[in-house]
Amino acid sequence: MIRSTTAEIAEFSLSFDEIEHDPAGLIALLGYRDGEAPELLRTVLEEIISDAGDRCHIRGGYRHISEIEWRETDLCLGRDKMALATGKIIADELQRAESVALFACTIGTGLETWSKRLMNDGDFFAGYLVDAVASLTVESAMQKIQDYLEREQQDKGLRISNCYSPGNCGWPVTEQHKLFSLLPDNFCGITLTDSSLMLPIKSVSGIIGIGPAMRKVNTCQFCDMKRCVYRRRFEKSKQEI
Amino acid sequence: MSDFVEQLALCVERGKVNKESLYPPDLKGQDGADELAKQALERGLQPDTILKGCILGMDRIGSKFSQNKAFVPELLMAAKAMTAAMDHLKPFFQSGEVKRKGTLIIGTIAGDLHDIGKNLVAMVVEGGGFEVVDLGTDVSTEKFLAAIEAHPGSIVGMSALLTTTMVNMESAIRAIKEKYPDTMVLVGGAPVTQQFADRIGADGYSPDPQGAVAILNKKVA
Repeated sequence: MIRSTTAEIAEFSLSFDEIEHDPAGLIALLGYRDGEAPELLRTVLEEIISDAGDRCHIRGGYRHISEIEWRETDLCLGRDKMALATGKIIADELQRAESVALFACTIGTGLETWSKRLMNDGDFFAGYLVDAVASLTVESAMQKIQDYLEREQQDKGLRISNCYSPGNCGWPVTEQHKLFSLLPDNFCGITLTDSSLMLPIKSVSGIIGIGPAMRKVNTCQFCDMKRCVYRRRFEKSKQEI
Repeated sequence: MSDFVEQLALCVERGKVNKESLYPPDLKGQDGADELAKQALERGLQPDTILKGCILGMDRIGSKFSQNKAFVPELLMAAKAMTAAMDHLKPFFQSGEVKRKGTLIIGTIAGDLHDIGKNLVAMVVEGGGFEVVDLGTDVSTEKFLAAIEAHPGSIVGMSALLTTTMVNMESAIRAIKEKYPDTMVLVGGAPVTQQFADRIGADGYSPDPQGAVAILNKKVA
């Protein structure tokens, strides 16, 4: 994990091997219960994971902003007080933050291109699995960066919140443009389309609250997407408890 | 004939592409959808029996998928097996000897580059006996209109994964209805709901591919 930091900005470059790749976790995310998935699925996933490293260029980071102010559910950031309309759910969780980190992370276009090529060649099965590996890789990479931020803040006696992203928990995805305007130009090589889609597609972005009163919650309770794979995992974990 | 339809349906449902394929393990070494379709034509069975087997197999796996008894990988393997059988039907589709139930023009709406959900619907709909004209992703209203012009009587399917792009469906539907008022438009995608579909003037919505096939079947019945 190569790191370059200034007072406000931390940027990371990660190799694919630094991320934990868990075929069983991915299989569960695809909807299967333990032992129910076809063996072929595990075999193909393992092959994809062993070939994916050279196709990933993982970059991520965050900007730490201490000047924050709430105007109802709008979070105003920096000297210019750029207002992020995060919505009530995120505002409720982050109201007591003392500072925030705006983050972005991408794995580049390699896996996306590979998946599309497989699908164009008629191998939708492998193409879909490459796409799933790509999605999990960018999430895992961001998790590593979040872990780094958490350790950094723990050393100061502070806690961090969940990652909250535009498009989730009532934060409109159009807010991506404001979020990226607060990050350095061309941060991690991510650009936005007019419809607020990040390119490369396998990218994540959002905000993390920092402060002694921050906590991590399961955001499925706030979301109304009933058929989401993460919800299935959440419901399963609740049953196991 | 009914034995053949059942055998082919099983291969499609279980994703048994051909004899060489190792999946599913319990059918290892047996003929797959590819061989069964080829043998059926050699034995002089009507080509539309192959289509019947494919429809039955895809219907079964699609229903399991709707009930969370099967997941995307199994649906994709089934689609692969279906394609292997359907490839043998290409000349009969071209000659008109085997007729599809109708045509679905499908595309991901303008501004959106996500295509996996749209591809799943396309596969299951094709397996349901329809011709699918796939316009790809980031499809403009003009492209939808041109496709309707080229395929009169077709039904349109639109997909979106982003809340920012699903709103583009409304203007596309308005333009389609203005020029082709009788054209049925279906919508789908993760953020789309029945309420949203009703509000933007869509004729149908389904949260899963099999639901889309059911709506299409109703339309052409």
